[in-house]
Amino acid sequence: MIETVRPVIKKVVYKDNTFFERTLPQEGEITCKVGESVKPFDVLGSTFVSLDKRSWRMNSAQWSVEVGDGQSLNAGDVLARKKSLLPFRREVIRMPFSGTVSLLVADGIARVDIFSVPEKYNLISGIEAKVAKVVEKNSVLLETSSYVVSGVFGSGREVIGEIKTVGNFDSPLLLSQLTPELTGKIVIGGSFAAAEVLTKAQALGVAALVVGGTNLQPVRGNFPVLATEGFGRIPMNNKVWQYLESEQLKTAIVSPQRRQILVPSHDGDYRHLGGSSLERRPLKEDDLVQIFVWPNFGFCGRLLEVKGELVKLPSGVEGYIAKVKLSNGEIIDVPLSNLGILE
Amino acid sequence: MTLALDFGSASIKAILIGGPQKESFFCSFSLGFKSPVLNRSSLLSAVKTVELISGERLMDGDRILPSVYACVGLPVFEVAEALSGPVVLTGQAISALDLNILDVGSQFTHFRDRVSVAPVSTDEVAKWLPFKAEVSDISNYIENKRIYSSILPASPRDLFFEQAIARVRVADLFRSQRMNTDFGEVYLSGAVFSGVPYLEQAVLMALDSLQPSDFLKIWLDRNQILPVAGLLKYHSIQEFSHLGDELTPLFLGTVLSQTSSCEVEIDLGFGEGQKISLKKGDLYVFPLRLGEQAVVKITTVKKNCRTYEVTGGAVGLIFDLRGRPLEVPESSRQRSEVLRLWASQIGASGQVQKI
Repeated sequence: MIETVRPVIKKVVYKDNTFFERTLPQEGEITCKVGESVKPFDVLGSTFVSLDKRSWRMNSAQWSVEVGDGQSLNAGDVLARKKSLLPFRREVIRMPFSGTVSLLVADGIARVDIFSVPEKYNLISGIEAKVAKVVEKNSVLLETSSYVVSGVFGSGREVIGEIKTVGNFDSPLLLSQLTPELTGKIVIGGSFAAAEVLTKAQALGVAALVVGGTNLQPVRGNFPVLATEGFGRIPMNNKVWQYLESEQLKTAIVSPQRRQILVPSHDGDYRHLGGSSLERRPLKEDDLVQIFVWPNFGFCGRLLEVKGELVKLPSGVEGYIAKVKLSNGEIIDVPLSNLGILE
Repeated sequence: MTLALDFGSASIKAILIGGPQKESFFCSFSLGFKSPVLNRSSLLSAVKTVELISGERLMDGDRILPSVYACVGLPVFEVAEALSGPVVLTGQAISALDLNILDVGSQFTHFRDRVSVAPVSTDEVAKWLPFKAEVSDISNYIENKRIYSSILPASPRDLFFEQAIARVRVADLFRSQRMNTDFGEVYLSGAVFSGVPYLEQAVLMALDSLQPSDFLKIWLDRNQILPVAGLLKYHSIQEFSHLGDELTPLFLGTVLSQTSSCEVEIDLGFGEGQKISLKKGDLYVFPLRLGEQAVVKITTVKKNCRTYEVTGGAVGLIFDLRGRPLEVPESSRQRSEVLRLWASQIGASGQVQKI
């Protein structure tokens, strides 16, 4: 008996209750209440934080620190002077902004940290949701419903931003397509992002990059990257692309650690795209299938038939074969084990 | 009834014992692309699949009828109440059989109770490829296989990647655990071995990665049944040998390793033995068929003499004179020639050149 039961791939599913945590950078005041409904630009709480900080380590034998711990200074005030007999070599370090000084001296080394004058920081909701829980002076747990787009690999921190698709699902993201208007956006970039594309996106201040595939090597640091299909040049699942394209400029959360994009969709914005991401069922003729073998890795097509006998693949390994018609009309043989049903 | 389930990296293997229709039953199936995580939902799904394939009634609603035991690569806790015994780690199950089982899965490499999950060096993998490959191609293949663990290597290139990665993983395990590779016999388990197009490829992978310096008897676990059989043994239920000959490991042959040229006399018991001169640097296969016995006398150039009593296997009697440690050329052109030569000498490319 041929086992034609294959996994059903549901890349976009709707979830009734998803939770997001919003946290103040340091202790402050939470102004919202449990049960309250909030809009994306509503303020949940606030605190005062120093938005700028600089640090120096100075050898006391070479530098003379002219300020004390806890001292408040204005921009341009002298922090330290270099010790030298020659006047033209007496280098000076000045305050780049107004703020306070933290000074620690040990073993002939002075560590100088300066903090800018604290400014008000507002904790913004970012999404339409209901307040589920409040941790006094610290954080808020928001509950909403959302569409969850599942990826397979993610790295970097969780970010919030607006969705912007660039290019097409089956074409790689190019350097020239990364423009300043993408700053702060979640860029959905087609089949592949090369190392230089990742670097430019990071330099431009893109919030996160979502692509079909990427190489393992350049995904470093804390810059958020999510691959929806795998590693290498793999077209983004067409259903994922179409969905994200329909949600242009909508606020979303990229959670690389959970390998997900969450698109909050509160109250009545419900379109049924399936409720579960893990299912299996037998293949049927004309099923939309996704291929997981090179050179067509990630591409989709329609199932024409499954051959009943074991066939020797080009590698010499034996397996059952399915005939699949690609969107360009080409008909190819694919091992049954390397097919998923797309819903 | 007793049901034993091995949640492997790419597929689940099951042995059902004591059903009304069949005394014992073995099957293998996958639940999807990704490595199955052992939880209540995947356990139910696995039992339902065994029910479907075996035709035995194993479920009453959501209640599992037989006693169920499971082993898995990583420790899990949430299914304890659904099982009839504690969850066993694959290494524990394998070592219960007290055999030298080398099991290479998509995620873990086991030898007896030792396990390795270390990442694979792409440079080391490249050394075993008979073509030039970008580092990113190798790492992408490794990572994609981690995500879609049940996919088959369809092209020759994919198969070379799989087998090169397996060589490195096995060598890494023995190096990291500082284990001697001269243990005399080994049972190869895992899809990368059992799925080889030519049995000679399994032998070559074992030789390249283990590099034994004396003799090595090699068995192949064609059905990847050993871990789940070990699970039954662990719980003192039933040994795998009771399941029938077609499920027992296949004996591939004996490998005799030498580091220099030598004269070999193979006595099959038909009178005068066959005398053969073997050259340093090459691999040879003598067609000693499964079950045939022979006495092999090896005389080195320094006139040292050793005698072995050997039994034939599915591949034959193998002489490995490539030296230790194996030297694979750095240059991609020379490396390609050497790897293809070794493959053709042992018959791993499908064209057997036997002596």
